[in-house]
Amino acid sequence: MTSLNREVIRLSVTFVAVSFLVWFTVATTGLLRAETPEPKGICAKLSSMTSNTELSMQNRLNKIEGKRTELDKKRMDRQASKMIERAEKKLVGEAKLAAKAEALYAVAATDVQTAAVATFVTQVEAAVDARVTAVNTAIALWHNEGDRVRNERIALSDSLIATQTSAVWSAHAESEVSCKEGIVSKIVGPVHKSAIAASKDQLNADLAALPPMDVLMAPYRVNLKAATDDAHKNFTDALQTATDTLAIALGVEASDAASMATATDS
Amino acid sequence: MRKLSTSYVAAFAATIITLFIVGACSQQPSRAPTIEPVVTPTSALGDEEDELSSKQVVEQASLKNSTQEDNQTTDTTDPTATATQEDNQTTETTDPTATATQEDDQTTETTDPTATATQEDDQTTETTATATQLNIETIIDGILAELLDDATKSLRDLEEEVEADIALLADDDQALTGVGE
Repeated sequence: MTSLNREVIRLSVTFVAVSFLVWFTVATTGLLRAETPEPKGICAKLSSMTSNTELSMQNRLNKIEGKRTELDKKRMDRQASKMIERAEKKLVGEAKLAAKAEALYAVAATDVQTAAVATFVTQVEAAVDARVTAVNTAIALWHNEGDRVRNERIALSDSLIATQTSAVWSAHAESEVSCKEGIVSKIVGPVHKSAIAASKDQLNADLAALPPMDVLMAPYRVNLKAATDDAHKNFTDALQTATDTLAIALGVEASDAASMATATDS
Repeated sequence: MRKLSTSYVAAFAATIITLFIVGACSQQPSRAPTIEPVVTPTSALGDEEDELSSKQVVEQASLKNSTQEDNQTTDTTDPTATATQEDNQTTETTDPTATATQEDDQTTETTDPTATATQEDDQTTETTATATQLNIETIIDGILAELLDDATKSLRDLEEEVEADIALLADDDQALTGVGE
């Protein structure tokens, strides 16, 4: 064999060896890749699902809080407006009483009758003040009960929402564990979806089971009506007493405030 | 000269006497007002009988005046009728007595109207008192009605306020609508 031949044979063997080495390296990598496949379905999306869920939950809470704040302001504004309206009506009533009292003073012929008219006016003003105070107290109590019931309802609603949120996070965690355990997405996905749906259904069912606000407020409404009815009756009685005293002093027949009140009510 | 003076004095005296008589006659109508007090109160009563009496009195007075005027006319034409005039005056002085008697009668008659007037005054007083009482009762009724009406309206407003409050409370639940989706 010539030296040239030897050299050719040596280079060929080297080339074959290098080629084999390259093939081996590439083939080994391919085999390894075939043993750990890329996650697909829910297992691939769990990370992004978690961050999206977190954002969605926060948005939901913000939205609920925004509506609650808006409604609370509307309710407070209305209550304040009504309080002002009642105070203005009281002033108007006092002005009308003063005007009519002037007519009574005009017909009072003696000092005794004038004094009787003054007493009548004082008693009527006291009766009006007592009625307004009693009604305002009853309304304040009603508002307080409304606030308390509302806060309880909000706390209960928040609790139900928190429960559902926990259920969602639990479903995410269980799916993550399953994916890590190598359970395929085809199995993990439906389980996760079912858990989320169950949490929503439970929340909706819990919210639907909450008693209506008018039912919750009904006992306090009864209390309010009883208090205002009492105030109205006491007012009528006080007017009757004042009228009787004045009628005697002026020598006229006393009006029947109770029957007038009944006629006015009807 | 003496004849002229005597005739002059006689003419002067006749003129004076004539003027005196004329002057005396011109004062006769001044007695007419003495009749007026008899007429005025009688007609003022407004009673038919009184009106008749007053008419009678007026007629009497007219007759007397006409008689007197006739007498005066007579007097004017006949200055010597002074005695007749005095007789007439005497007759006239009798008439006021009769008139006085008539006035007494009228006063007696007006006793009843006075009582009636007093009754009317009492009735007027009672009516006024009743009207005042009604006025007072109306004022008091007005005050009571207004106060009770305001109070009743206040209760109705309160009912509406409660309804609105409950609706607003219920709206909190609306904020939860779709929260589970």
